[in-house]
Amino acid sequence: MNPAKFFQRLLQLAPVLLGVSFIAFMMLAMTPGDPVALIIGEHAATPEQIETLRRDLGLNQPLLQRFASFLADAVTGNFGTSFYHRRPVAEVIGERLPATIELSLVALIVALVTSIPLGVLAAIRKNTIFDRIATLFSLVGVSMPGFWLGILLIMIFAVNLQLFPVAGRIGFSHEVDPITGFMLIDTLLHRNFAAFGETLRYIALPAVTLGLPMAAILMRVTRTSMLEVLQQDYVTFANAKGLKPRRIFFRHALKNALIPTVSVAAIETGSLLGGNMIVETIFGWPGLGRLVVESIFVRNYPLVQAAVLLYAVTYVLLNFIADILYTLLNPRVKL
Amino acid sequence: MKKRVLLEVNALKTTFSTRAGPVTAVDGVSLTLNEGECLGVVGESGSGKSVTFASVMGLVRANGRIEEGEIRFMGRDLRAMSAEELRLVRGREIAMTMQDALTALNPSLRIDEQLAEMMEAHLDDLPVFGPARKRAIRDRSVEMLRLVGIPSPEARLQQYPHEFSGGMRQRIMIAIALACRPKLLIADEPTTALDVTIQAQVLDLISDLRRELGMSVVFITHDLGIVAEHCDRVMVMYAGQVVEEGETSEIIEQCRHPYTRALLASIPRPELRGQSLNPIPGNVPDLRDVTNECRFRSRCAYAVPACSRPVMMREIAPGRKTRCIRDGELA
Ligand SMILES: Nc1ncnc2c1ncn2[C@@H]1O[C@H](COP(=O)(O)OP(=O)(O)OP(=O)(O)O)[C@@H](O)[C@H]1O
Ligand code: SF4
Ligand SMILES: [Mg+2]
Repeated sequence: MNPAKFFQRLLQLAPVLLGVSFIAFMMLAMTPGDPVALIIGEHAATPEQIETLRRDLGLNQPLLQRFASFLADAVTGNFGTSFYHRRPVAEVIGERLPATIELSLVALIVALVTSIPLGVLAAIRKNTIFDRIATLFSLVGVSMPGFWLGILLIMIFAVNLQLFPVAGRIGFSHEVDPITGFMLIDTLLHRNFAAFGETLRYIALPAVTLGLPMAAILMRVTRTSMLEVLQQDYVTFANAKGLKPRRIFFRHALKNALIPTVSVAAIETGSLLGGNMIVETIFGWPGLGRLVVESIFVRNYPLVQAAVLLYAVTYVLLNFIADILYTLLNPRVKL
Repeated sequence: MKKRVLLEVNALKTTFSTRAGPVTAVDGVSLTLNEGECLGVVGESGSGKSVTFASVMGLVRANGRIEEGEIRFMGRDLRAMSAEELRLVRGREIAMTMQDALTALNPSLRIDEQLAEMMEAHLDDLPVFGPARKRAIRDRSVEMLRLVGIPSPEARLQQYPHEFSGGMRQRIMIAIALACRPKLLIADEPTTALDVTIQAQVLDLISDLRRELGMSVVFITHDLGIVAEHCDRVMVMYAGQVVEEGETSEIIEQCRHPYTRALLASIPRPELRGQSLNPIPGNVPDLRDVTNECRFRSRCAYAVPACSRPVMMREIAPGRKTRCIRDGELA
């Protein structure tokens, strides 16, 4: 892609982010509940104290002015102070981000390693029992609500079978000094393999809960595109050339069949963000999703605003990556 | 000296299972092809030309099956071969170009790879390892592209199929098919979708290579004009059966089947320019409800009541066959 096109894409980002921020801002403002009252709580406070706090938080200004100053600050990288933590929003989010990214990546891996082989097999064994079961699995996976799947997995594997912990990111028995913030990497860097194994056990259920609906979608996409590719003349021609079956399968069929899978995966990774909030809350996962849910409950406006912006940027970036991947895999398309 | 038989097909029957029931696309086709010979296979769309030769290659689509028949190549029974044995015949001994070059080349692989993999799969006279092997394959690839008339082959090897015109892709497909010097080339409509000049170039190219490499060629086509110019023998197919067979000159000058006659009449002739074509009235019968009678009967201008009985292929002279009871009156 040439630089001009690249900047054009970046510029297209601006109105999207502006719109998303504005909608989030208005929705928060219209949600009943006063952050000042929630912060002060049951403590007796004089009207003066309340007024001072309101002014400190900048809540005494008119709505649009508040939005304008949020934007002005955000452009300079200042997202304000978290009402609740009394610390910069960027710092609070920064602390929580690695846990969420780690969970999302593991979920993505879970989704890819299950969906691609299953989708390919379902295509090759079209209309067999295996295909039917895989189809059923993907139907269930797509339609099952995330919280329900999470609770089901906790009930079966954590409570009844006690194979996995119920919640959290790592047990108290393990001390791991953060280096990258990614537990799976940090434990390895410390050569603390016991803690690594423990981390895997903790991440397993939330990652499966998060990854399964995506796996279901990707499986359908892979199956459909594999079926289509196997019908293509170039696969017949590859056979007519007398190539080895393995080469026909990987180089001619699979490579082309995975083009849609890869770009859908990149786009769907964006939807993991929404799933994160539910899954992190159910599994007590100390990530951004849970932080945002908590912040909504206490009307911690600046943090929610910043998180929404971050989600929007991530979502758009992932779409962008999807486009790039599609181009890289598909020489016919030029960005 | 009698020529050696290269390909022999006997009573081939290939059936597809479809939602609307089984469809026998090839019903009792027999043919013999000698070494160095060029056979033209003609017939309207849907007459079973492609399926016949897909069956020969063992490449019938997943919903189809060869039910009966014998396919012998250089005396070997192709139907009895294991998948691996058959793989070694494909590409190396029998090569095929597909009807549509636009879709037969893999869009996401460069031309050099699509040529190289063919040689990798079959050629054992290449150096075994490393750069020498790479260079040998590259040299041959360049040679093949040059052979089919692609300008600046070194540079074009690096390109993807979509960067070539339709005619170029057709030639590339031919280059790939010929890369291992096969004994038989099956060219399925090598010229549809090409404009007339390029059409002639591609056909001449195949004929030249045929003489040069001493291979046999099967031309599958709608176009009797092409057959007249390039083929030694002709096989006319209709509704899954062969209806007439013989030397090209005999078929063109004294055809012995009403269908062939109708096909010949539908060729646009330069001296009749300005007049409309003579398409054959009526449609090819639905293969699901063909009966025992002559399959051409509903469209045949010569039909008589006796034509509702089964009509067999009959040898009327050595190497000359027809499937019509009134052939004598046509002569
Ligand atoms: N995969 C398939 N499933 C069902 N029917 C098929 C399949 N492939 C071919 N047929 C049927 O077999 C018949 C013969 O097809 P074939 O492709 O051999 O015709 P053709 O003579 O090559 O025609 P054309 O000149 O259009 O290429 C057609 O009626 C077609 O509908
Ligand atoms: S057998 Fe009868 S119907 Fe069939 S082609 Fe001959 S004349 Fe026509
Ligand atoms: Mg055909």
